[in-house]
Amino acid sequence: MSADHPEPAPARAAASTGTPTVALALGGGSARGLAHIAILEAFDELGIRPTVIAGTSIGAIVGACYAAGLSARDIRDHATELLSSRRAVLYRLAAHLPGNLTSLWSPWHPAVVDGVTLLDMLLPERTRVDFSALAIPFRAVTLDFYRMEQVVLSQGPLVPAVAASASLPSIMRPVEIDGRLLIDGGFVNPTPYDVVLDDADITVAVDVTGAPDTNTPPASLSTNDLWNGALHALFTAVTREKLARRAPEIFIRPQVATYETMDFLKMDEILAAAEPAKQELKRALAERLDQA
Amino acid sequence: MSKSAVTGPKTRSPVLPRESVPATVMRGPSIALALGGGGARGLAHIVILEVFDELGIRPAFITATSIGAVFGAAYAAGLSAALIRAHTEDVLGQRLDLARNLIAARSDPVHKLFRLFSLRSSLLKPETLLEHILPSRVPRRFEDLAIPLAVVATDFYAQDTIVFSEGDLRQAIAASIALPVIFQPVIVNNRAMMDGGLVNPLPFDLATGRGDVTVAIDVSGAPRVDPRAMGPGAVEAIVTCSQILQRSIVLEKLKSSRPDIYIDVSVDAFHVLEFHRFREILAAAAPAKDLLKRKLARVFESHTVPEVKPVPAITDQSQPAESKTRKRRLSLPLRSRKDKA
Repeated sequence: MSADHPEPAPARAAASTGTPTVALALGGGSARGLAHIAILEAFDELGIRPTVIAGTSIGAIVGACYAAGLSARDIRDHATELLSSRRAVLYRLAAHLPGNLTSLWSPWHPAVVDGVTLLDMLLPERTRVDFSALAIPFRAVTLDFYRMEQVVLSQGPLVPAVAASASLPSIMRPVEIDGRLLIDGGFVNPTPYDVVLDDADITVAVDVTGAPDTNTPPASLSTNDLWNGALHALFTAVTREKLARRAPEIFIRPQVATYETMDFLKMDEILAAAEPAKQELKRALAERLDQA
Repeated sequence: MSKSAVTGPKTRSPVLPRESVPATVMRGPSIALALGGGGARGLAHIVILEVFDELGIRPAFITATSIGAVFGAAYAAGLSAALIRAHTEDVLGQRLDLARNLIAARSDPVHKLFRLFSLRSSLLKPETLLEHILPSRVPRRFEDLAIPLAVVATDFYAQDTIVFSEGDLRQAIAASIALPVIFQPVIVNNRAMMDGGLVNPLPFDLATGRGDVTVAIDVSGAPRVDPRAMGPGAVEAIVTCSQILQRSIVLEKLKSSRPDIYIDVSVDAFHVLEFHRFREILAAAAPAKDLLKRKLARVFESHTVPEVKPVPAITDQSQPAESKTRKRRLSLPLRSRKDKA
């Protein structure tokens, strides 16, 4: 694939020392994106540090933590603590927002949560920095709701950018940054590897888009199943077209497609299901780095 | 991709009996036409089909998604654009009757109907709707169409494209239009089929190789954004976002390959369900119609000497020199294919 882009991108200048550089793209997929933690473990275990990370939605949340310098283990522990029970999450919300809990729900948008407030509470302390202070360059993929175009954030405060990338309409309010109203980047770029494709020798894309459970017979499909399946078909089609044009060197799809959007409490199960993908990635990365 | 084989004879502009069509038929390159999905915005396809009637050009092949499949099938059946326009106006003018017929066709309790209007449940059978909106002259089977047709739907479980080009025509169109919020999926042999716009909103890739010149009509538009959509109207917000996704699919496809003629019909101002704005949508498609007419006329001029001269008004005066060099003009519309190689 490197023949496709003969002119070295600036980030690849480091490759002249011999070791190929690796760019990482973590896709959107709500709770399924907890699988990204297993993927990051592969990097830690191989001792490889990505040159740049791009993330969409949950991929931006997990990716931002890693870019801020947390290890995969740190992120897993943090998530475990948060998700050990619903009560713990509520406790954390209450403890960190004395008298401010109501700000999550605006009276004008009763069903919609303020994402910046929410993520500011849920994300680890070390992510409350600017992009410029990150250990690994990071890009959060969002969608400008009015202009209907992709906006890739790579500067300014990190938390609002991550919140914007994860602002699923109807659950979280859009985030205003520099006069733009930004929402979940998954609607333009569910698995945003093309954002970093020219920035390293090897690009790793992790796709955690959902898919219908093929064991559910047509007659048993609920409206919700149909609606989710339709959305996932759209996400998959966008990624399929991108792959047809130019694929990354390594494309990983952890076997978590049938976990549902809000299955966050099944984190252990999801991470276990992602284990084969983690091993696949380790093999693929080791192979390519050996070749170099 | 699990696209089933598209069958049908590879013909060059078959001469067919057609109502309200100029008796003269232009000879020239064969046209493979792709009609995209976009809900009510797809009413604009009617105006686009008028171009073919007015120029006396008959597409050799039509491939279509969703609302494009409804009009594509009617045209492939041999109906003129004028007839399709009159029929559509008639159907949309009888909305109340239509609603009553649909209620009669259903056995579900009436309260579910209210859920239909709040768009919270997929309860309409697309086959039932088709029985009411498709002109009766549209045949039951693909094989009986005058122009070969390929209809795009989404295979729900495979999350991939499925292409129908033979057998039960209405079932294929029903699958192609089965947008989940409104329609039930079409179940065939334990497979669930849905709106083709979810995977291939503008199937010009299926037209490649089915004609000398591929023409793609894009009615996906940019979603019309209503600031209120971000509030309690969660369903509305999701519908808008699914439109953005469709747009993203089309834009990615266009980066990989381009049809010889691409027409972006400017119908952004209309909501996907605003079928009642029929006249406005058709009026908004007028510039796209003129553009297609000019482009097609130019392609035909360059390929062959027409038997009958095209209407003088459509001759492009801005590039008179080029019309004399046939070879050079030939390469123009086909450039994108070379790029792909």
